Amino acid sequence: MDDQQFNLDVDELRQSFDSAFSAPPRSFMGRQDMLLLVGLWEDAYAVRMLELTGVHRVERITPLPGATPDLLGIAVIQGHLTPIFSVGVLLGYPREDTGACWVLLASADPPVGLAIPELQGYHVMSADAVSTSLAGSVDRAFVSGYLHVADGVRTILNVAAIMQAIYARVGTTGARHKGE
Amino acid sequence: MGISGTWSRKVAVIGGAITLFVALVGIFTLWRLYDIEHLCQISQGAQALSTAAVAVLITIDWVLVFLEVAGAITTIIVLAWPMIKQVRAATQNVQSSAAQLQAAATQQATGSREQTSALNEVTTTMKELVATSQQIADNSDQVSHMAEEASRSSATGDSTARRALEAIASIKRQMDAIARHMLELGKRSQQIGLVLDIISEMAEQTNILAINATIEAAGAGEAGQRFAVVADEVRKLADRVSASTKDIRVLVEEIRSATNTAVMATEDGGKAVDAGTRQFNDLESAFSQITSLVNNVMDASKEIVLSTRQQTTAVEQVNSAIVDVTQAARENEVSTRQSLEAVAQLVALSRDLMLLVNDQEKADGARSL
Repeated sequence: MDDQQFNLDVDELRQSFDSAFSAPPRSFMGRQDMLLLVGLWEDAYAVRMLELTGVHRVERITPLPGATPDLLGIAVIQGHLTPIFSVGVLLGYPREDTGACWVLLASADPPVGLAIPELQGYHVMSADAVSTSLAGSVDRAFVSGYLHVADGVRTILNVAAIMQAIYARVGTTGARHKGE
Repeated sequence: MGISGTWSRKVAVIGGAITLFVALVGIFTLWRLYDIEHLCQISQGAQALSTAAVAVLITIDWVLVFLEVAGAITTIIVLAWPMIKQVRAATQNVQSSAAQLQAAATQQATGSREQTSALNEVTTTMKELVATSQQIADNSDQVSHMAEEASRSSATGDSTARRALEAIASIKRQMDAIARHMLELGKRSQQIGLVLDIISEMAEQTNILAINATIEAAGAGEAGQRFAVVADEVRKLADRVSASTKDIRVLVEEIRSATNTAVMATEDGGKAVDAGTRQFNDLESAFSQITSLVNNVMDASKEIVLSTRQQTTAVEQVNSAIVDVTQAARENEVSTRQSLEAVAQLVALSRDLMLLVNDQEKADGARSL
């Protein structure tokens, strides 16, 4: 890192930090969505936060014997024993290992964890930034739209559809997705 | 001539006196017997008689003188004949000796000239030898001065090498201190890295909490919008902290890398200093050896200077003696030349004497016949 770039970064950090306290409080105006930007292997995805109840970093997932490939195992999240499913496997990607990963808690009862290998960021968007007609390799049953951002197009995953697929796979009857 | 001449004069005077006395007695007798006139005639006759007597006496005297001279000559001839022979023999001896002397003087003159010439050459050679000795003495003196200069320079180099060695030892201590500080800096960088790990985890947790707060706010609907804004700001701060920790981690890694490089550089520097120390030790040893050798050279050159000066003095003394000898030889040559001339004159004189003796001998022989 050269000195000039370092000084620019420090100045930018200082200005943004100061502006966070000096600017008037803003509010989400109009119809806006808040999305988490996630990465699956080499592909970029987004998840609506309204479909989640929380995001957690899990250091270790305990695998279960005889489990299906999409069920990575179980982990303790906020004192609850939570099953962790692989979003990638559900979307047709190879199974990742059971090491540390990010877990999205879906709005379900009991809670179900959706493991993603990479949490890339947070994004607030307006409704017109989302389109629904874009071809992709992912099963369109799991896609709720496409987000147009500066670095390209991200597929917005449909968490409710994913949860339905999980429920259908494990044959659970007691669990209910809160979005339904 | 002396004794016989004196005797004849005495005889002549006594005869004249007797004659005069007889004449006077006759005159007196006649004066008594005769008159004045007769006396005058008698006187005139006596005067003529006297004149005749004087003439006779003179003639007798001359005869006597002649006889005396002839006797003397006869006596001389009789007495000088053996002497002439002796003179002749002596003259011959003198002539022979003079000839030998002349030959010897000639040989001596030749020897003196050769000796003078040889001494001149020797003098010239000795002068050259003196000049050469002086030149050697001067050169040796210069060598001695240069050796002294070299000795001083070598001593200065030795002192400089010693000071450089001390400076290198100081540098070595500084390098060791730098290495220790660098290692300490590396440890501190590692500790900073550990703290950064904690800060990074805290920022990540804060980010997660903010996201969860945002999710909760979104779930709360309209009531949670303002809370969602706050949660978003917290998340942004957490993002900035996380980004800053990444930057700091990069910086710390760069510091750690630079520290490792510096530690390795100081280790290399320490090795170089050790090598330099060894080389300076060798240099100091070499300077000491050079100093010792130069001192030996200086002592030797001083001895050469002293010996050469003594040699020069001795050669100068020899030269002075040879100059004296040359001068003596020249004087001897002059003296010999004078002797030769004297001998030549002696030879000529003896030759003339020999001729005279021969002539006298011939004259005597003729007279005796």
